[in-house]
Amino acid sequence: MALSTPDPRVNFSLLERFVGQRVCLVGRVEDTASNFATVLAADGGKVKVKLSRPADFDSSFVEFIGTVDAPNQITEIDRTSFGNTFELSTYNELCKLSCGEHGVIFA
Amino acid sequence: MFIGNRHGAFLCLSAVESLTSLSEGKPKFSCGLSDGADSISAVLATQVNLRVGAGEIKQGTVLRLTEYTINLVNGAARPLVLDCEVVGHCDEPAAATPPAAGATEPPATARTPAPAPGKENKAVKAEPGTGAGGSGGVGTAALKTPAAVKRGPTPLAGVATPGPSPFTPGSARRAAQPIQALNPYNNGWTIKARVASKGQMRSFENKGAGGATTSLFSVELVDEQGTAIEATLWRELAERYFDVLEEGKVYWISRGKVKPANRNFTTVRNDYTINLDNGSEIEECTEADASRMQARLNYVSIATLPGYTGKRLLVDLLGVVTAVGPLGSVKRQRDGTELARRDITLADQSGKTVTVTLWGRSAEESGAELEALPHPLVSISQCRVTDYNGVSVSTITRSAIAINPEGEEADELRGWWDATGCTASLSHAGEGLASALKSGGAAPERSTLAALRKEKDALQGADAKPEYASISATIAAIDPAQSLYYQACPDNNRKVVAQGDGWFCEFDGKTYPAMVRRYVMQARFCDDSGEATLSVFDDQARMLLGMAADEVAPLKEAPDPKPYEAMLERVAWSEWLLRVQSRSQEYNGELRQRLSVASLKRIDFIEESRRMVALLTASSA
Repeated sequence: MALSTPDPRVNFSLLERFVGQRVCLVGRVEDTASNFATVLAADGGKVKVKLSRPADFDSSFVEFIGTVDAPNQITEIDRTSFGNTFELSTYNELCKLSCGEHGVIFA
Repeated sequence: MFIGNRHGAFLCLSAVESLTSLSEGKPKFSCGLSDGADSISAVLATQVNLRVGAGEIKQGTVLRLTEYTINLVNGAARPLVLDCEVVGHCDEPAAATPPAAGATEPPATARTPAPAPGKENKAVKAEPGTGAGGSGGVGTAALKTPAAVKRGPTPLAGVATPGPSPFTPGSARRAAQPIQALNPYNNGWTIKARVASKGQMRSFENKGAGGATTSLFSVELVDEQGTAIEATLWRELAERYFDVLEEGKVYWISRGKVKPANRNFTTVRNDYTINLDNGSEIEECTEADASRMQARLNYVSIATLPGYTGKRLLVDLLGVVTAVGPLGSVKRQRDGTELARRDITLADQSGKTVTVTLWGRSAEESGAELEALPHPLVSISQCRVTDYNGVSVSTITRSAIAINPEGEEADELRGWWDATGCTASLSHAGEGLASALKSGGAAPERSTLAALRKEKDALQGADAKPEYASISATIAAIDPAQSLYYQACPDNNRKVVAQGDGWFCEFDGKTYPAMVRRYVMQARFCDDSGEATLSVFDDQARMLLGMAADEVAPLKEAPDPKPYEAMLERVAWSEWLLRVQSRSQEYNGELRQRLSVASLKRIDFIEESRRMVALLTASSA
């Protein structure tokens, strides 16, 4: 991730604004099937993540860096474990603030 | 004051012995009228006189005045009764004031200064069916008709209780009125109630009246219906009954004044309060069943708690326990005694949670019981609501805790919790409240290290109260060269010195076989505003370093300083939420500001994030 252009932190409803671009999605991994993972985004929407690595998640919350294929799907570029105690509702506020009202600071 | 109802004003003719003929030619009668609360002198018009002569109107007759005028005679209101109906008769006068008072001296209400001397004459016709408020045209200061009698038709004492005199409730055993039925418009009542709690005797100097001291104390009364009311005893009555009234005993109480309660100062949930002064009567009731006189719990929804902050009113809570904190203790500043405390979190159907601090025995006993149960229901009576963290609740000495109580409300809550509550996302009732963000007091508004520092001339005297501030800060460094701890007496924490085989304590002059090391260290903290060196004492330093001073000693005293220094460095850059105490201290004849850590905890990132989101929302709103 280039520090000069940080990837926007998104929830489900923000995804459609970034189709074709890189985003940062933190969510809870709900299910995995073949090379897809279903991830519960911060606002409660479900995102399909096309995995680039085997689905050996070691925590329930994961941060994915990926490219948005469609408003409900991204392709993984990288991932980081975010542990098992992560409050999605508060993070959702960060997504909204950093892509909205206070976007200037995060761009 | 007239008791009004829809049919006009009911009055009991209370003092017919004063019926005097005012003029020689046409007989004209003066009489005393009472509505049970006050009395007033009145004149009967000529057309009414005949009925006096016929014996229809005599002492104790209850009249409904259908037509009357108010005359001002020497500044006092004096109704002239033009027409009236006889409604009933009571054997004894129902006056609150002594029977003779109405006739022989100006009644209390009539003493009110009148707007102007001279004669004012206004004819008033009380129309049946328009209600008492209809006679609001009576413009004199002395005659007021209540706009509405709150709790429906109020029976006149004289009508409702014929027979024994109302002045001796103890001997007469007349029916007690429920507390619920008390209102300011009726003074001829008697209640039978248990003293649920008795307050301290208070007194104040009456500056206006030659510095006389007025003493008073309050009691909380509960009757068989479970209604509570606060009663305040004044002056001689207070002094006479302070030692007599006992908590848990039942008393007959009569002839007090019922006043609207000031919600900001009363702890009892009632619209009214009773003032008992000279003339009020209190008598113990020995045959009453006090166990039935328990204040009915009136549960308050957690979501509505913020409305109770800053008031003295106590609330009852019913909730599901979602978390039980560890048992802690607080040292009382006043006498240095330790007081147990424990925080529990309650949730209810409103989807809100609140932190309740249990104190003393309830923290120990009920707290331990709650800890052992999976999500028990708990009912807590008489809690104080504070604005700490937006809103918090604290028990007081007389709070009663019931675990898994029974009843409809409890069943409902249990049903909600089992069905939806246990999986629902609950939020703290104080979240986003202005008081959670505002500064001052215990509110967790954050200060900064720079804001804490004071210039020399701004320092208060060494005896001034210390000030406190909450600060989130990062440890920059702990200097390894400092002494870090001292050798302390295991009994009183004072310094001890090695003496022979033992340790001598200069404070109590005893020699101890062992000592403990206690931290007194300086740590440099920084935040976005700057940095400051804070003193950290044993309890806090132990949390900070994660080990006791006795465990650090071998590292510090070892020839190789590396493990010791590494230990201190490990702590650096950890983030803490600090409660910092700032006080002035005299040192070499000069005042210095001294900062120390009163308490600390590790930053909880989730909590911290929530706080910041709330701040952002509040600032953009």
